[in-house]
Amino acid sequence: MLSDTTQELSITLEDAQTTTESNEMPVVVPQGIKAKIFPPERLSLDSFINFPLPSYASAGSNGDLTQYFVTLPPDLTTMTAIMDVLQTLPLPPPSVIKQLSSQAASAWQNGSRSLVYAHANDPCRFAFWVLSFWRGVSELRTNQMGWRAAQRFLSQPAFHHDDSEAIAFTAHMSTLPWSDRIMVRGFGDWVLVQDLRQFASRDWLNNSHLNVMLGVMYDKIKAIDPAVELRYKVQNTFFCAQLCAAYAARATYAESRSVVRDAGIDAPHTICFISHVRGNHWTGIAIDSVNLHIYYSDSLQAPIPDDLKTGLVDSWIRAKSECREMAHVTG
Amino acid sequence: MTEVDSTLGPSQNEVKTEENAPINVKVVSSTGDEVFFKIKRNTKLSKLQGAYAAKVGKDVSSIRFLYDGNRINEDDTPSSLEMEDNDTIDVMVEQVGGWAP
Repeated sequence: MLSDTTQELSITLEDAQTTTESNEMPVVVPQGIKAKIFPPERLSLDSFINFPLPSYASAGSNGDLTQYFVTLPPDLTTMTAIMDVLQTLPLPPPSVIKQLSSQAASAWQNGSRSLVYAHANDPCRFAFWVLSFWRGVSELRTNQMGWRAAQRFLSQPAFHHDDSEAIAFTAHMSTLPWSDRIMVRGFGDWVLVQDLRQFASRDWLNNSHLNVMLGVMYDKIKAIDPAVELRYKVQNTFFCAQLCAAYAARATYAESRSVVRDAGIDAPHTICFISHVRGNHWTGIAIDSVNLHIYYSDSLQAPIPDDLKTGLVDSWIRAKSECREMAHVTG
Repeated sequence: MTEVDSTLGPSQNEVKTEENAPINVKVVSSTGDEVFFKIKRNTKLSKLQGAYAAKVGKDVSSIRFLYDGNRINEDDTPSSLEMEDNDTIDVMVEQVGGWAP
């Protein structure tokens, strides 16, 4: 069902509003502060893990949110004074940061113009960007904890019979910049270096993780058999979801946006992709475009869900007939 | 020289204005819901992504924005992706899967 929601974005706003002169709530942490307190962008992952950051106050610290918001303007104006407090005082507990963030806009509208470290009983008043600072540091600390867990995972005895992969992973951690992103060549996706830690854990994997794996595997196969591209076309993990969405909206879906036809159904090859089923499971599908054979692989050996099967078959038959019609017209 | 050049096309200022003229972009969810945005050609699409995420109440990192089947990069703009007026961005919620032994 389509909605008629329309939103006109005002994109001409400048990114940074670091002064309190305007009526805009200041949310951008001044660059000078970020440069001094946040880890350098080119720092390697293993150095990032141990980079010193402000700690959290204990969970039992001041939970009265009204004491954080103050109607008076910020009173710390010099960089030295601001840095001194930001570097020495602990952050509010994560739950308090989350609640303060959700209340910030209404507090600003109601006349608040600064925040204090109420959990530390410190009276210094900061501009509202201090909330962004707390969130930013909190996110960095979460990433640090995640990577420390990854390090523990890599040192587990389970790897001792063959620890070559753990060694290779650790070696990459000493060279990859923590803030980088990695493009997944040929699969139209990218992943943050920070999110690679799931590969050193028992955590479940998302679309982009799977695309990373597909990219690595496909490159390895192509190195052995360059002609594989002529026989198999591998799609990213978004393909199946787009296919299913196109099938669900088949009554209104524009012919020009046919996901199936764009994948090259008229070419004599097998299209391979990964599907997400039952809300939490990845399975493999390969479709022989010439003979219309659909191969389905599930590590749990469950049959292909009916709605997926129907959508695939219907989409392919429709796209094939479109191709035939177009060939007939153009021929 | 100047006169000849000026007859070949719009002035530099006019070119700049045209290059950065706003276009309409439709963001379509996997359930078919549509949200329309007007965005300048040189504005990063990350702004559109943030606004869309706020509108639907989701964390932007849990959403994938796709143009022609490829995930939009943080620095991409309508201009860099050669988008045209009334183009569509597909959006889908990140999927997670695995198996517990």
